[in-house]
Amino acid sequence: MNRFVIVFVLLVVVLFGLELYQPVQQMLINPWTEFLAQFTAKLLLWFDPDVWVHGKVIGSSQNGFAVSIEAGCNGVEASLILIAALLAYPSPIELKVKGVVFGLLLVQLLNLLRVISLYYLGQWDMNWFEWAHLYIWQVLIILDALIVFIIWMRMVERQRLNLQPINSVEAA
Amino acid sequence: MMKLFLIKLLLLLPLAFASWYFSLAFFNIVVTETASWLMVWLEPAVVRSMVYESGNAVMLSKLLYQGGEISVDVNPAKYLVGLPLFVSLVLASGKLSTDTVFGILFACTMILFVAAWGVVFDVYHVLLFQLNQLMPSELLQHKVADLYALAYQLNVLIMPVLLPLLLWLWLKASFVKMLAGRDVTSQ
Repeated sequence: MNRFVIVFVLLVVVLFGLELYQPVQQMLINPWTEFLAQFTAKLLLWFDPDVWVHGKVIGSSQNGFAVSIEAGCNGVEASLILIAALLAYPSPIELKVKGVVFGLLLVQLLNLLRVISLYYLGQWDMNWFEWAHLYIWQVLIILDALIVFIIWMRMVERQRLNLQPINSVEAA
Repeated sequence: MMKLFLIKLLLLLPLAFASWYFSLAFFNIVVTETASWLMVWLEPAVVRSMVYESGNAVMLSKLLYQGGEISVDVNPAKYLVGLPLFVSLVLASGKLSTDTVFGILFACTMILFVAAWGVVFDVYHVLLFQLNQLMPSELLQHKVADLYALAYQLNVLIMPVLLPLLLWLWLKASFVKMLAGRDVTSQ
């Protein structure tokens, strides 16, 4: 566990250092954030014709309300924390890859729900928007990453148990 | 075991959030006082003090603009969201022993201290990236903007939510191993 925590913390620092690196921001983070805004707007346009999108800003032409998806709201931070945990935990590479792919998908799905809910909460009541934005969703997103990680850890341990020679299981 | 843990967690989280909300003023004051001490120690030429005012930590600076002193407002509560998360994780992880209670007190102290650093780096972010024209040039000379940006990222965006998880892993390591199914392999 100690080795895991040390490697995990080191990976978190490295990944967040990389995230701040300007070329990474320009080539990955900003395009991802804009894609998230465009994708969210496309989803919303199915049932809400008043939605408009410009860059990373989603707004309503009905009441002038708009939200900008900023750092901390694009799901990248929780994704990086999850990636660091998956890489730090001793496991076969194919399980790491599966964990990263499905884990990121789940974190981003919940983040999509966060953006949509905040967009409508903000139009309804700014106090609730602030609460959900600053406190509740922060916790839910990291909890999502934690639960994904625990489920993945159980898969890793189950596979390890299945791969153990029968003799060693009996001896243990 | 996993299902029971998740059910307990989902039930405890709203309760922990409600308790946190009603005791928030106390935690905010502790964080503001700690941040004030840290800021005055780190930047005595810039920071006069930090005071708690209607939910905000207000940094009173020695910087002047159009005849008035500049102040910076920061919401300390956003760095304290880890508290309800940590408490619900620990309570959902089984029985409380005396060691666990001391562990919780230590962990809460750590969360408050890290929240104070969050406030400090939030203020630095405003001073270095928004009010840098007003900062004395000799103070800016020794500051590497990228390092402060990384520290801001870690202390403001990462640590407030990551620390509770790390503390939970530390305090409930054996429970987490059981949750992962590791006890099965080691028995």
